[in-house]
Amino acid sequence: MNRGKILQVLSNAREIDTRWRSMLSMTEKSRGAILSLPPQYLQGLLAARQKTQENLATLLEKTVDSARRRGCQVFVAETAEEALRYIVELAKRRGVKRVIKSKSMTTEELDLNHALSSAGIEVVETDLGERIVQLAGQRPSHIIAPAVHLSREDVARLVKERRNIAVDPSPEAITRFFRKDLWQSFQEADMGITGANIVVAEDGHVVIVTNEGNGRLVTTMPRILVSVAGIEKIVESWEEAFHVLRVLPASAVGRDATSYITVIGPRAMSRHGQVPEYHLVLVNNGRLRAGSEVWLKEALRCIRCAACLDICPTFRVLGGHIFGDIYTGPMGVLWTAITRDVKAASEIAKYCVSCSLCLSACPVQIDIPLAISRIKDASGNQTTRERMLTMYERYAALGSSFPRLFNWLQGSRITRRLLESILGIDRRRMMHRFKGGNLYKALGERYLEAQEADVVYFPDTYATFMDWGIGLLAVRVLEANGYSVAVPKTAGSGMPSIQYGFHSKARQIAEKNVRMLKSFVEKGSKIVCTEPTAAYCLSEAYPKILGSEDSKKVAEATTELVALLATEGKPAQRPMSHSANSAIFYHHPCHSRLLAKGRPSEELLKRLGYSVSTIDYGCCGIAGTWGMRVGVEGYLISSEIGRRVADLILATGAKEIATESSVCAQQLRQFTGLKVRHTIRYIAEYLGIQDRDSDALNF
Amino acid sequence: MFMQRVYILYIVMAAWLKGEAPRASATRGIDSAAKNLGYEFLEKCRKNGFKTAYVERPEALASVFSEWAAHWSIKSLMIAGLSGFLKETIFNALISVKKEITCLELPDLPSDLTLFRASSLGVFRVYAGVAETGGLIVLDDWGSNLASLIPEYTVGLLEAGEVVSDYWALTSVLRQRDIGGMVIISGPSSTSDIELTHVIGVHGPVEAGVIVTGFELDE
Repeated sequence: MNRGKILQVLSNAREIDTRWRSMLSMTEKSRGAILSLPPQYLQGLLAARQKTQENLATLLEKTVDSARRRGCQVFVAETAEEALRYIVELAKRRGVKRVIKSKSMTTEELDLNHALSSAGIEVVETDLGERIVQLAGQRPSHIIAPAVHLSREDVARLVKERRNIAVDPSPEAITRFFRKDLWQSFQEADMGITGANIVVAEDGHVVIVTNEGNGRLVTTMPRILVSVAGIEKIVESWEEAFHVLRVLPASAVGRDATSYITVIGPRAMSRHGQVPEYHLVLVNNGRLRAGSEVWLKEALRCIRCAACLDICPTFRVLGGHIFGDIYTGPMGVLWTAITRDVKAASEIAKYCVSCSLCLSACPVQIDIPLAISRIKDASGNQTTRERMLTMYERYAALGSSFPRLFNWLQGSRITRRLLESILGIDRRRMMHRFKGGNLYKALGERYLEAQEADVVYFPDTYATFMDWGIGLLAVRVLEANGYSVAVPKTAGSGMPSIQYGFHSKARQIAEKNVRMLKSFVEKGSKIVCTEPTAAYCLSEAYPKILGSEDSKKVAEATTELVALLATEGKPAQRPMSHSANSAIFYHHPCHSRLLAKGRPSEELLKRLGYSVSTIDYGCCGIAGTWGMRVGVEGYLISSEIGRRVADLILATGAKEIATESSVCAQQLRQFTGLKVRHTIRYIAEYLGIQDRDSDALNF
Repeated sequence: MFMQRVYILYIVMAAWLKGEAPRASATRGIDSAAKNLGYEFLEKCRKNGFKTAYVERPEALASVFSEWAAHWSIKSLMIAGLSGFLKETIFNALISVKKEITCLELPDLPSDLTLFRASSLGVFRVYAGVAETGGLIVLDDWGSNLASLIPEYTVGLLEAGEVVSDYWALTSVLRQRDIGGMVIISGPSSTSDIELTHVIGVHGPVEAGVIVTGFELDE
């Protein structure tokens, strides 16, 4: 972990603010555009990309044949070195002095600019953002907004330094400058190089999507044109290509279409009076190998929309120069593993906090967080502290047996310093207090030993050991709704083991829980959780980790308790007597987003007469035990997110916060100073169920 | 009905003999459904940042060009893919509001395209429009490519009957024509690369317009 660089980024509040606001706005636009697309477009895209994922070698052969038939000169590069050699030698043979490029991440992957420059060939990036980072001597920090880390003042300063021209620090004036400055390069370049958003196997066409017009100039002006494409960009047919073209701009920039979609093939003539040369370089560089790795092959579906970057809480703070290699952000971890190796990928994998928002935003449903977890596992780079954090449940069980001692330990400055140096728990992190006792004792044997029930309640660690009042309320609310309830003794969900990449331990926990729950599911029971992360583990992670039929059955039967009540519950009408008029802010936990469409909790609270508002800012920034970790390992980054989220919440005028996640509650309470309560407490209050075990210090 | 079929067959045969696929209007005609699709297309284009107009008669083209050009700083004009009559109509409309306009012929081998760049208007023939996304299809011919890309201002023209519903309607076109390339234009050139602030006019046109006609352009 590069502490110095992280501290440097964290000290620049303005840069974080710019990135935070930009990513928030991109996510909002993208979500709106994706929701407005007909569902069949997304289904069609997924099917097309799955076909590519499963048939990459065959589609590559087909592409080579059809592109050659059309008159392209095709070269399949097995490695980055082969691709570089082909392009540099071609440029040298043709006496190329200057190359103009449109934006291409594949050429970044190859480090093509460096190879051409070393051969004495001038390379000019023509995408505005790429040109800015080229002048700055940097690499792109974001795959579709390469210079998003630089402010307008930074860019104006850069122009003055590198081009000796004073330009007004406004986006309009800077854009005008580059329009004029790059024109001569377009006119004089001998060779144009593009990337590819799509390669159509049926006829060998390459498609690029751009907004600035530089892609069109690059493909129109020079006498030699080279398109460089990663082979995963291949789709079989135009019908499939159109699915990509409909979804990509929506997911990337929240639009129906970019300004230009350029279909590239061998042209009939150029302004140089000869048939232009057209070369298509198809790059393997680890992609075919990834197709045979169960946990990496989903990444081959990626359409590079960057939705996973924009929604990622740590990317919003750290940016791509820290959370990234050549490819940045969550998908960057997978692409680093594919194009470099697992070790290099594991260096940036640590910035993934397993919130799973990237999975909820991915239009082709790549399970990025689980693949990153496997990269962490395969690298063997986990720390002792991370291993200790997977024992969180034992710590909670001990705390519930000795609550006074543990509450004192958590409250004393000296012991917090000790906890910080041994366990790596940041001393500034506000901790939950232990209530004493546990849910199983509080409920009694009837629930523990029940062999049949309509509903099985899976409490997870927090509601078992720390605030078992939530567990009691859950059971009472379920019974008030007419469900019979069983609460068999289960292990915690095992999320810390998944989060930090201890897969054999995660597997053991998953097996244990599935074994316990499957007999109920076979008898038709539903499984409900009050902790969203537990519901995520049972319904999303376990089936992928275990792959067994039993785990799939358990997954299908699992839901969040509030979601169940929102769809099936019939709370009796009772007079409202409490805080119904006080303004409640609803915080939507990350893991809940994967489990149900919309926000069922918010809808239910509104139906029950509560005054509820919400803002979709994404993750609150704690992500389980990650946000508790000392300094740059977690807390400092987590608090940057927490403060910004708190500002948004407090601006709504809310007086209290409702949510389902116990750790989100911890974060929100610490940074807003507001009372945070589990949604089930509001429902119980509405039903007139007394909450005798409520602890004002917990949620 | 019989005469209409004969006419369609004539258009298809003529296109086949020229080695081209038939345009959408050749098989559809400009009926009310096509007109509605044309309006839908224009509405989407407007949202994409195009100036838009629907004209029923060739004479009405003049007033659209005069109105638009009044707001533009134009000194030169290049036109690609339009008939002599339409060229004349557009040129006359422009000189009525801008006294000094040079009509540039598109050369086959221009060594310096700077002349076509600043204070210039490019007018080009659009092969088809895509209603769902507001996209203008421009095939890879030298003139249309330049006229839709290099000048500061551009205007594309197409018939209402040449508007298709979505991208998928282009599949047969792409398969029939042995095209070297194609571009779908869905707005003026733009960027959000600096602090995600949207700026219009980067390397392509600063303003772009599209006109759908209720009459046939190639007559």
